[in-house]
Amino acid sequence: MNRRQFLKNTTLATTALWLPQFLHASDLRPSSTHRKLIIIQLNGGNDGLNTIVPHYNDIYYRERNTFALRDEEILKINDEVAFNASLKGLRSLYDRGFVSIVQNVGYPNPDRSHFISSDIWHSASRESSRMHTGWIGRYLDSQCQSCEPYACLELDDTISLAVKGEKHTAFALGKEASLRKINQNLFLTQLDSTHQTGSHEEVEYLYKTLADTKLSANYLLEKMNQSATEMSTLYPQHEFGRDLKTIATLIQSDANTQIYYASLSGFDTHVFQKGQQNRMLQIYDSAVSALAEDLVKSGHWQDTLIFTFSEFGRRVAQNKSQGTDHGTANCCFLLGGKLKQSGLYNASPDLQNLIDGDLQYELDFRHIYADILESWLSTTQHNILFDAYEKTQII
Amino acid sequence: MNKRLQDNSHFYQRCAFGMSMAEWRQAHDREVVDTVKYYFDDIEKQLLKNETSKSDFDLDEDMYAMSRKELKKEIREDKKLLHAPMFNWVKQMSDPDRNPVLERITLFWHGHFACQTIFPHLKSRQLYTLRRYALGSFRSMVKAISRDSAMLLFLNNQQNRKGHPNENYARELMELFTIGKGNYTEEDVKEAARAFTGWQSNLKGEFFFNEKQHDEGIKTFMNITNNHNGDDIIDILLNKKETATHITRKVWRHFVSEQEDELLIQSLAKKYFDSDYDNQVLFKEIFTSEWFYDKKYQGKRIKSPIELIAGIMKTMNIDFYDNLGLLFLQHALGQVLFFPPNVAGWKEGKSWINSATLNFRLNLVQALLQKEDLDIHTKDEFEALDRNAAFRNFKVDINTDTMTQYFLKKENDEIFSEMKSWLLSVPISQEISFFQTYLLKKDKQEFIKSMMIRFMSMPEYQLC
Repeated sequence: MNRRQFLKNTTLATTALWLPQFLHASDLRPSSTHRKLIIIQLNGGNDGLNTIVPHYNDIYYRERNTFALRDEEILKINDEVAFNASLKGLRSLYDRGFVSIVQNVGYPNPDRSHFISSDIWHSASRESSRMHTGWIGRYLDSQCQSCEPYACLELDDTISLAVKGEKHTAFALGKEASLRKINQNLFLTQLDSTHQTGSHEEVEYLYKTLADTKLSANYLLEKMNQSATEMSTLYPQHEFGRDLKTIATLIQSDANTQIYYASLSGFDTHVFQKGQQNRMLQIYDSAVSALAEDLVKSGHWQDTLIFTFSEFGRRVAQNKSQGTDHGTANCCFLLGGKLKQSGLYNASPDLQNLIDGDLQYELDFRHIYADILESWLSTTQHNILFDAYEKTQII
Repeated sequence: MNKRLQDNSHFYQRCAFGMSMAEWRQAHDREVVDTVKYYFDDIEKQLLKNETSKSDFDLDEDMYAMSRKELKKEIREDKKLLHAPMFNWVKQMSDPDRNPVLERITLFWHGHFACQTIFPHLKSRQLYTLRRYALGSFRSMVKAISRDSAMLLFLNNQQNRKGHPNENYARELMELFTIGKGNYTEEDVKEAARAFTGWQSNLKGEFFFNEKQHDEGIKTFMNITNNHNGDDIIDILLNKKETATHITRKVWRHFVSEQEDELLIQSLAKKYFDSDYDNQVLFKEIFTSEWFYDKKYQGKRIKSPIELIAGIMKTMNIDFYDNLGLLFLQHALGQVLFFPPNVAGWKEGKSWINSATLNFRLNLVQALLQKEDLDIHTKDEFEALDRNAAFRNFKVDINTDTMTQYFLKKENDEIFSEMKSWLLSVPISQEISFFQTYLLKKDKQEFIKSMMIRFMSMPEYQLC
């Protein structure tokens, strides 16, 4: 946690790079709330090298001698890289121009703790060690004058740092049963409805949050039950499949939610990695493909962007338990019906020039955030990312 | 409610995790200054207990022979051991044989000297230090914390060596622990880092001064040139009035209000500075001042998750059997002891509250009392398997006998108004009629219990 060094290294972009982008109003597309953003975190540190596989590279086979993926376990993209064969849905979306793969994504002075590295990705600030808000939270703060409390949803029982702002924070959408519980708690309903606004700031804040929670629960339950049409696509029988299905339902019933945050856990593969990771990738793949197909059918795919990341990648060399330990740079995916640039965004990792056995990042993840904020959410990165980052030009 | 009761109530809510039934009864016939005196007089006795607790979680001797990495792995795998100090401390906060005011103030310092560690023996050593000086000398406290193993590891002072200084500890010492931002230069940080070179610790948790790694050279720190060591740096920092002001302001915002009263803060800071940083002087001055009991400061603090949990345990006489259940609660509510989010500590205030945490808070007491499965997942674990583990089923023992005994003889209206002032820090507009539908009427004991649950499930209960 050397904050100073971190600070020094992150100020990559110069003012000259970003100034014109800010000033070109014509560059900004009209603000459009119909555009949806879905963020997916693969919790635990997904092994990028066994996700997008450098199958031409001898070093990969040498360092991963017990579980480097064999020819029949990959889906080749070109002579250099391939998908892990568990990602066959993603492969077919890729062929249709709906996927952009960004490799070697990271940040300076990488931290190998799940919590701290997650916080860095979530806060996106150079002073991440001090941040109490996330990049999406700050986006909400900057955009929301009269946003509904469900403008951003996290598909979980608790809230991630990424979607916490000073004034606006995502609504936690857990299981449907939990929503019903909020809905059916008569005591709280009555407290809420009989509360008379007073002058005690903290009391009012608590009652406002309670009212927002009830309002959101009611609204979302209604929307979730509105789409009576049987969905033909198959989502995997897994919590994550259920989450993405909920997202599809809400998008299709025109819910007034712009941002969805979901996560899939189980990528911390220190032991017997291969089976575990393939299983998790398959869950991710089948859920995301089902979501994409669903939204293509209903005509919402053009207005959807899905961003997938993990808090870090893993060591190049395997460990003694047929797994891998916490590493650094990793690959990210951007999916959507309207990508400016799909396919492989950059070259695959350089396995020859490692630092202490770890990959060196080439692209700071904040360049992707800048692209999402400016090209998709039609806002400026200013006040959200603090430094200015050149956009990746994918979106 | 009479003033005496009101004052006591405010003191207990804000500085002692609320009131047990016994404390509530006592509060009727004791002036608040006497209550404060009672707890401050008790501190020396408490510190004797603290002496023996230092090594509560020392590991087996052979474990210290392991490498740091191996030891980490070993501890991570034993979740009960990993979280034992946290478990122990929360229980001490609500233990009638402990001093809740001392624990509460120690909790404040834990947030001030924010530090993460997974080693249980280092947690208990750090807690020992914080408690020992919580109401003692701040100067000694800073010097002890600068020798604390968990802190030296967390802020990389192990890597701070002659010729290759690591500035992390020196910077946080100034920015967060003592004088505050804007009162030192980058050059001061560099020179202070040199003074702390060679301040190291072994895995056992013992401080040692590594002479070979210490930079003996001349340093200029805050315009004073000498062969400074770490203690000299601390002394120079504490000889500046700005440090007294910075600490006083932080104590004020935590214990009095987020609204600052500059005149009062300045006068408190002066007293603090003049006492050579005697924490007891500062805290006593605040708690025995008339203004502290002003209505405008009552119920203005949103209870931190730990205050809420310890408060519920104390008031309802709850005993947890399982430390993982207690850990789950902390994760769900957003505050895990010995694991602050970053070096700056917990942000507090409104940041504790969002749709998820408020809903959880409002349903918590009922779930505990009815031993319900709360049926939520937290983000504490990155492994899918752990995430679904069954530790959200709490194993708790609740003994509400003394409470029901006390209320049994009273009329319903009387129970209602007494409970209101016992449990809540702000007035409510609802009358007993509002609660009727939710009260169990099978027998009086059930009635009393259900009323208590309702009070503790109100948004107002989140304030202290």
